[in-house]
Amino acid sequence: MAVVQAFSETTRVRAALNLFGVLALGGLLAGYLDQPTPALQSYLYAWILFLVLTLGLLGLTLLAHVLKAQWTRPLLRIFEAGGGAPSLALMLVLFVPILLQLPRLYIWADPEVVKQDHILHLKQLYLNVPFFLGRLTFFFAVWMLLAALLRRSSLRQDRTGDPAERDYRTNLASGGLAAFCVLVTFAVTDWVMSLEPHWFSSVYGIWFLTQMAVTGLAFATAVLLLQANKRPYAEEVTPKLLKDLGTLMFAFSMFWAYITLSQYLIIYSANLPEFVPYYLHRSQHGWQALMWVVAALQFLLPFFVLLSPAAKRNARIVLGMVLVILAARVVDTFWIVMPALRHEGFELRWTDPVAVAAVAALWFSVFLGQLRKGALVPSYLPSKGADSHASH
Amino acid sequence: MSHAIEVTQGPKVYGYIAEFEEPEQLVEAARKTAEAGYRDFDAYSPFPIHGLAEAMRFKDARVPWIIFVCGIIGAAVGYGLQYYVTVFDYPMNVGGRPNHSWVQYVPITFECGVLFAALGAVVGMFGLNGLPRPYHPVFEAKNFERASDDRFFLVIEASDGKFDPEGTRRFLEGLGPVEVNLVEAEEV
Amino acid sequence: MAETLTKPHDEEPLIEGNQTYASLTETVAGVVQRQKEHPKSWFVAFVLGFGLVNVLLLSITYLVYMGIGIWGNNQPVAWSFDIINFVWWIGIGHAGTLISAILLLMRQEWRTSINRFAEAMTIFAVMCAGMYPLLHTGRPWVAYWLLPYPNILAMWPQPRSPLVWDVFAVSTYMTVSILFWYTGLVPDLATLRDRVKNRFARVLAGMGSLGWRGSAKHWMRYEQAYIILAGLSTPLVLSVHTIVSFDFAVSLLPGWQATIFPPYFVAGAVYAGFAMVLTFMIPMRRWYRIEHLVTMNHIDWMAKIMLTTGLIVFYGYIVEVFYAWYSANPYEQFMMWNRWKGPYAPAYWLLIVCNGVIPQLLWSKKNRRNLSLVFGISLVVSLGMWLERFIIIPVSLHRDFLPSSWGMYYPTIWDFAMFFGTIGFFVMMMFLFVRFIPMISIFEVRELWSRIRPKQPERREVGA
Repeated sequence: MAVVQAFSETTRVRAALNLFGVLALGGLLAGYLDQPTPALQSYLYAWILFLVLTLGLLGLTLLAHVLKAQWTRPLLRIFEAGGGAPSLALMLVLFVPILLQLPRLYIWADPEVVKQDHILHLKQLYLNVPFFLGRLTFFFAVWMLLAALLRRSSLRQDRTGDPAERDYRTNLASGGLAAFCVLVTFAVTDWVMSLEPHWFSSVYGIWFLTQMAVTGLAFATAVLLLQANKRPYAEEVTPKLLKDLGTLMFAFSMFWAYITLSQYLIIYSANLPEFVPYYLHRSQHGWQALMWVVAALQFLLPFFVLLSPAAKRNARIVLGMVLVILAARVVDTFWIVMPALRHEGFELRWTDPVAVAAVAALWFSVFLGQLRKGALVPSYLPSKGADSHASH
Repeated sequence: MSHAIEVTQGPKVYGYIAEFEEPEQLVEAARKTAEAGYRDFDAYSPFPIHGLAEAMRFKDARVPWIIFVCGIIGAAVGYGLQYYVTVFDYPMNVGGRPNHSWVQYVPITFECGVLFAALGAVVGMFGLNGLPRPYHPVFEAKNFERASDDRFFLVIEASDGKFDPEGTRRFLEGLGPVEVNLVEAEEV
Repeated sequence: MAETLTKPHDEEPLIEGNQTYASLTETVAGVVQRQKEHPKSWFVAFVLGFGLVNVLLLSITYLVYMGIGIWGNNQPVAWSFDIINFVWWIGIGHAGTLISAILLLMRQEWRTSINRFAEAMTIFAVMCAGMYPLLHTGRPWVAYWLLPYPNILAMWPQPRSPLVWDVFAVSTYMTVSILFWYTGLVPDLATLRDRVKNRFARVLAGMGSLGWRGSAKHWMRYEQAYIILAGLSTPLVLSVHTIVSFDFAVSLLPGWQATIFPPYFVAGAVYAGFAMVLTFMIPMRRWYRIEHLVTMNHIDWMAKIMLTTGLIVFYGYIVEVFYAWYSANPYEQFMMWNRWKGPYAPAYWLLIVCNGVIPQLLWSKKNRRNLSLVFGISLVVSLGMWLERFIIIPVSLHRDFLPSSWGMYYPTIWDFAMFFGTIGFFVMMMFLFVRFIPMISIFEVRELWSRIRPKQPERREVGA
């Protein structure tokens, strides 16, 4: 039986993606020349959307090396390809246009605004452009180093079969995961929370970490299941794996709902003027519709569908569910980012989809290129115990 | 037991019991018994054995449904109680929040759902199992006290249409047990 | 075995030695059957616990007679030991549910030897916790007023209040924990019913076992219900400590009003809970010679979970400090400054050492397998988690928004009597439990053994 190899023909696809990405960026540039600030807002949204995905995949790479679980095996290379150093480098490069126009998006970078705002004046020690740049460089440097070391070791074990590589990765990833979580907290504070610089929420880092976990797992599962009838995934996608992935998707979604709701409940109940505007703004002027869409797609639907063990063993249902969850992520990120910038109420501009398409095309081009560099499923098993079992 | 049959001379029969040493043997025996067309039979083991129920062709998915329905009812009762209290029976302005402030009803709704579901799980499971039931004829079978320790048993009950005292006994002996014994029915 | 969701054991077996089903039954049930052979240390621990229970009874009696004025809390510090200890105990209970439920769902087989023990711990810890709010009402005999029921005053509890959520959460948690524990116990009580010679014990075990006879049909429904109970308990644990954290987080007080509280409290609870399981398990496995069931692998895994949850708690401390500074809010900044430099500063720095610094020793595998070190770290973590609640509760309260209402809090002898009394109650109940109830789930150990035992084809051939 001739089973097609997954991702065997990517060269032309990548070229097309690159071309499309550059064209879309050109369209966005046209939008920028017409109305700079709205176009930049669209671009920032697209950047954050893919940042969450990239970091989610990096976090799951780290988690996979710590847990050494069976279900990570067919997903590992997808995690590595999307959360690797090249994807991070792309995200870093794509941040340059935002850096060039920082005050248009981040009001704390505008000296005129800071002069008239006592709180921002006090925050200048942290929220100032040079320090912001330094932190940005540091975050990306650490993430890229972690991703590169793990990826190299993982590919090396494919060639040499040396099991010592596994222990090395586990040790590196244990400390790396702790560092990753702390750095993500500070990073999203810088890049997302500081869009509304008066507001803060101490669960913000964990909230974004759960968003990243949900996005990364849903994305990797979608890639796997869309190629499920091709080599080498065909042998890997068993009802057992599907059930594990369905259960994890369920658990991650519920944890996301838990963090999201408890942050809302705490701020709602305290009703303090420093905190409550965040939700007041996001629950009226049309933004509330997005909130309900996200609640339905990210919580209600996965809850009732993935509760059933039979549904979790059905590849089509699991695939449908992760696609729904990815759609929810697109809406949710819009709901988190855009109300901070568009104060007149809900508004969708033509530059929004163009920006997303541009970043997506370039991102997928890097992703596909990375997937090709190495076996799609590692030749070794995630843990020693599994090795000895397999040899029986 | 009402479905015990009369055997000429001797006690009323509940069924025949075969004793095994290993769980794998019991699964195999249960599979063969089901294949032979027996329906009223049961296996007894000191721990749950994976694949045994499938081997017996025994299916029952009522427990998860009972739990699900109980959980939904519990959540509805929890939410309904709060809605009734804060909107109808005792409305009170708490810091300008609406009477129906759904966000703050989530914790109690959730707890009530879990409480009802858990009660449904335990009551439903033991209820469907017909427990508590302090006495059962198999307790009188030889060596049956080891069913809660290290032995595995298969009982073909006399109520089965295919049951025939000699044939069933020979059938069980053919499954490779340690021994086969008669189980007497409860005196009514 | 390779099919586990996460892989717990790389090298060593979870049950050591050459065992049979009967020998496993004998090891665990034997502890209950041979009542005359209990180690001397059992009596020492029991008497210690029983002595402290008397202190508890005395302090409750005096409390009911005099009123809660005998405690040190008064305005502005209206909450103190009562709530600290409530939160501390509830948290300790969470490890039990985590081990029995979450690890079951994740198919972590190493839980089998410790889940019964941990679940018992949950129940006794929740009992200890429940005493505090009930007694703090001052009139525990009308505690049923906390429940919503139609009454002649036409009044209802306020469902917007986190304290009412607490009533629902803790009572649900207690009920579900008992159901879960008892359901797990039924097949083991059947084992005891079939083994014990003493007629009285036999009848008791027989009634408790509900006539369980190990039918395959029963086992099937049993496993369905048990796994779903585990699935229900997992979010329940999260919700209970989340609601406990809401007691503080939905208020207006700096140091309490923090959105990080729910996950941070849950992690802290698990952290303290695993510390308590280790504190009991390390001596117990030696006294009852169950080292082949509670192996070094188990200790290693519990230490790893303790390290992980400890890191989450430490993350919480970092985040609290950072956002207090980032907020540029004078009240938030003063709250943190007061923790660092205020009158209770030594408690804060001790907390950082206990919860943040010392547990980092667990990164090393060698240290995780050093029993006395792990035991010591567990005690340090228990102290640290108690201090954390001390820092959150009285230290936030004693410096109000208005300097004119500032005050100090000093615990009285009755605060300590009550606290050590509940520790005594917990110790006494745990030791009664290990003596009279199988402390390890026998049927689950047998089930695990049936899958991991070395296959012996030659012996089977001889048998056949």
